[in-house]
Amino acid sequence: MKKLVTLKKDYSIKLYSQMTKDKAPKYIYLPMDEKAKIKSDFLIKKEQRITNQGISPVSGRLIGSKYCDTVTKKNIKCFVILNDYKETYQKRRAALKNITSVSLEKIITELKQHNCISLSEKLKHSKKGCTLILNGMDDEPYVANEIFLSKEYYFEILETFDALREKLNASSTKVVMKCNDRENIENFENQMGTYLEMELLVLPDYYLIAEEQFLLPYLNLEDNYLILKPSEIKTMVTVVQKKHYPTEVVITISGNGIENPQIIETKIGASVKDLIQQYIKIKKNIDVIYCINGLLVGEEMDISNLIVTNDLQSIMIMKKEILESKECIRCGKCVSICPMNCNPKKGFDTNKQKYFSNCIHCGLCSYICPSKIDFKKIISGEKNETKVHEIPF
Amino acid sequence: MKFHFNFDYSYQNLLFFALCPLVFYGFYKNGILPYLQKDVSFLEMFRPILFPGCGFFIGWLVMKDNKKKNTINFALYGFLIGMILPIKSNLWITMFFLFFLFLLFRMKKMKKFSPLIFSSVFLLFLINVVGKIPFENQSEITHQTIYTISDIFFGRNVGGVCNTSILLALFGLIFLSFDYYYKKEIPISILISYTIFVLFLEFLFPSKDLLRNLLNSSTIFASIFLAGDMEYSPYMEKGKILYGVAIGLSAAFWNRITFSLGIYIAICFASLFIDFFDNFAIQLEKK
Repeated sequence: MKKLVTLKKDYSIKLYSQMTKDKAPKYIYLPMDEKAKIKSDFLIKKEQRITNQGISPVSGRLIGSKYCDTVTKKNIKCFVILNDYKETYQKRRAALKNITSVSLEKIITELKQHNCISLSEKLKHSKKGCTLILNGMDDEPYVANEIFLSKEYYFEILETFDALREKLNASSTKVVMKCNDRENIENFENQMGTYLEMELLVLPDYYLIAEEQFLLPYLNLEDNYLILKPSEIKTMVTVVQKKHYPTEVVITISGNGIENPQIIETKIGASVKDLIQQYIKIKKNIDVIYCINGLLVGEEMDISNLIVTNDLQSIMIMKKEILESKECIRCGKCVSICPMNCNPKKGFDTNKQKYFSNCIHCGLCSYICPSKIDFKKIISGEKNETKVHEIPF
Repeated sequence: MKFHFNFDYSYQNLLFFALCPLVFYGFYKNGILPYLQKDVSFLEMFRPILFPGCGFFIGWLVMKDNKKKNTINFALYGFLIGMILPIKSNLWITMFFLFFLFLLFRMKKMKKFSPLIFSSVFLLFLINVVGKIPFENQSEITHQTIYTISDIFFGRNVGGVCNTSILLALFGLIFLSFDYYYKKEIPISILISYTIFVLFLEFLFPSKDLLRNLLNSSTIFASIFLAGDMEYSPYMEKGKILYGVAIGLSAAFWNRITFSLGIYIAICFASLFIDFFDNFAIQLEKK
């Protein structure tokens, strides 16, 4: 494994220190079957199951359908729900004080019942006596979802994490933070007296260090571990302790094209366009582009029909700059920076996918390239337009 | 991709800064000193600056509207070529040939060759071998001068317009080594392998020029500023080292045949096989 790198960042992009909570969007769009029939003016209650996966995050009226985009799919038909702001629940269960009294099996079942399949599977496959890790780091530059969740809900997160430690009989418990996340480090240090078994580890601000495969060597771990993120613990709290469906997500809206970068907690199904109109001030007299899910791994998208889903993590609003890619100058930095030992240069020259066989789409090759070559296009199979002159022999 | 390392071709700016002290020294050695000794006229004093300056202008002129290539790259090529030519070369003829060669490279007529190295070898061969113009400046021709080893090290040496100072070239290497893009493995491996092979050759075929061979300012200058030319050198770590070693060995050999052109010929030949060095390095890494 190669050494990870620190990315150069524009420190003029500063996130607002408080998390904005958008609890009441006017319209909610929930994906539906193409053939489903809609009964107009149908009353919908909060947390009512509308489709197999679709749980209404608000109460209101079903007013029709509209074609929307998600991060992964385009033009999918969605129910449109007009929020009545009454928050009337279909069925409400009493919340628990904490999850200490709930067994691990019960937690897994509850998570499964509330559509949190991956998290329940993760807990199901964890072994007793494992090392429990709370990974409160974000990799993408200017994105701070996990950091802000840790900051906002640190008490609940630590309490639940400690309860899990007891249930899993964990051999050790580590809380991992990046060195530049000073506020959270301070918060956790203050709480460490209460949770004596927990160990706080501060890691350097390297890109990709939050990824499991790169984090483990830093922790000297090989097997028998369970890594959880603050967002996953928060979901556990919502489902098991508060007895609600996880209908809220945290997204970062940031970039050099806006005046007030911030973290917003909003409802699944809200319109991204409405969200930006309501909370974000775009800088005057500039053209902007919208980059979804990060500047390195994400892609540029049109947000006019985009809706908030579980897999939307960030919206980077950047000044539109025309970046002309030039001919490759054979500096070889794409090869030396690749953490997976791929050969982007050779892949670029030959258009062969075998040179990207280990690629994890981290975007570092495009980031470092002085000729601004978009390797992502080549990895996805598109032909490279800026073909380098090849030297024979 | 909307996020890039924010240093658009900083390497070229640094290279330019690293070359500036050499130009100033060249101006002093080949311009001011001969003028003070009344060997050249006042206007002729500025020849050491005119050569790199005109080279820079020609490189910029030829590539100025080529969007795919970086204009500054060719301007720097011109600047470097201007620095290695003999001071007594005819400026107009040299620059005409340089313009013509760069034009050929712009039209992609000679894809096999590195513009920098091929133009250097072509012009040096034309001036020094065909034209029989020596590397000495007017003072060195008029007054018989014998340079000591320390003279040679500090730059009082026979050589091109602005490439005689070994000390300043080594400072340039240290300065450029801090740049993220500079391929420092190449000059370091050239200099090490060159030294070892020169000593080895000296052991086999003794000559009286060991120190002169080791402190060859052209070899040191070319290995630091020319051999690591971004586009025409290997990009794999091991490939760079192998390439440097190959140049070092062949330069030691060529320097025995043609003292002033050895390193340029060595780089020119090696640059034809850069893909071989890269592929070899890829195969080594696979194992």
